[in-house]
Amino acid sequence: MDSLRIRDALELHKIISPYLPTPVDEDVLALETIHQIINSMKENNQRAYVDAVLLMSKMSIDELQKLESLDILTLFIDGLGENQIVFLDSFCKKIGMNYG
Amino acid sequence: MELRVGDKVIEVERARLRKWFELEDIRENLRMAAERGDTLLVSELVCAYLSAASSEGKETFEEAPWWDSVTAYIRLCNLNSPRKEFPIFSDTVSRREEDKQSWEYKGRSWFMWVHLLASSYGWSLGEISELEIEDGIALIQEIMVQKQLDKEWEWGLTEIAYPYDPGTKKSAFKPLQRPGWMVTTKKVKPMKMRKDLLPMGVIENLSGVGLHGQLTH
Repeated sequence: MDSLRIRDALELHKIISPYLPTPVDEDVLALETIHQIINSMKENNQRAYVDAVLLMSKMSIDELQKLESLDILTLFIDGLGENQIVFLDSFCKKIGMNYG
Repeated sequence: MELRVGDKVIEVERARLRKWFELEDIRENLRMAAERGDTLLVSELVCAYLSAASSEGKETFEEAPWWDSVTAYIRLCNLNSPRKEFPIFSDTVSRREEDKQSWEYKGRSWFMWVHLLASSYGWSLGEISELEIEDGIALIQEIMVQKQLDKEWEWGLTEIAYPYDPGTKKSAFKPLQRPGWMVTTKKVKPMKMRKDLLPMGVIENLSGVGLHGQLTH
């Protein structure tokens, strides 16, 4: 999976930020953070989960629909890890990002 | 300073006064865009900042992995920040749109600084543009201090500095108001209270801060 450019990374943060644990603990293993995000998304907005995977994988919706749910989950987890979601969140907070 | 962005290694130098103004303008626009949650504009402004500070094309930063661009942005912000704390920046309040003068326009601040420096020292626009950031800010502060002291001197020589108070039937000196950054803050002395005026009974600490400064909840 290729790393995102800054425009897409900020778009990813916009999608993911409502589901990030507060505060995001940089000392906690990244995998635990990702599990918390997934659980929060499942409970509140599954569409955001699909949008995030599409953004990170650069696949079309048709290509994504052909995959098994476990493969999609792997793409999501790999994508968040590859794109350093904790660092991204830290930067967005530092510049005062506010989605209203 | 060297920046690694994607496959490129970019050499950057610290900005001079003119460039610093331009970079601060971009940062201010970025702050406002971030407050609105405009991710597209924020990404464009991060790349615009990097391009302006490094003279490298915007595309280099737009196409690079985001953490390279963001790390470069953070490092360049630190490089181009004033290295001293100047009091003139300590009391800045954004003016409301309705309070702005009719002669205000975007980018006016730079020309105001050039006007002050040129008037005081006889320098050209080119010379002023190449000043070090701290030199420019320090000299502007000195000019503003001198102007304020001159105004206070002239004020003290006028009648309006001694308004008549009908209550006391006397005129008393009323000093000219100073801008916030020139006001000396006095330390508040701890006030001693009589024992019989202190609260009695069981006191619940709801502030969240313990006796020794630790967090209680």
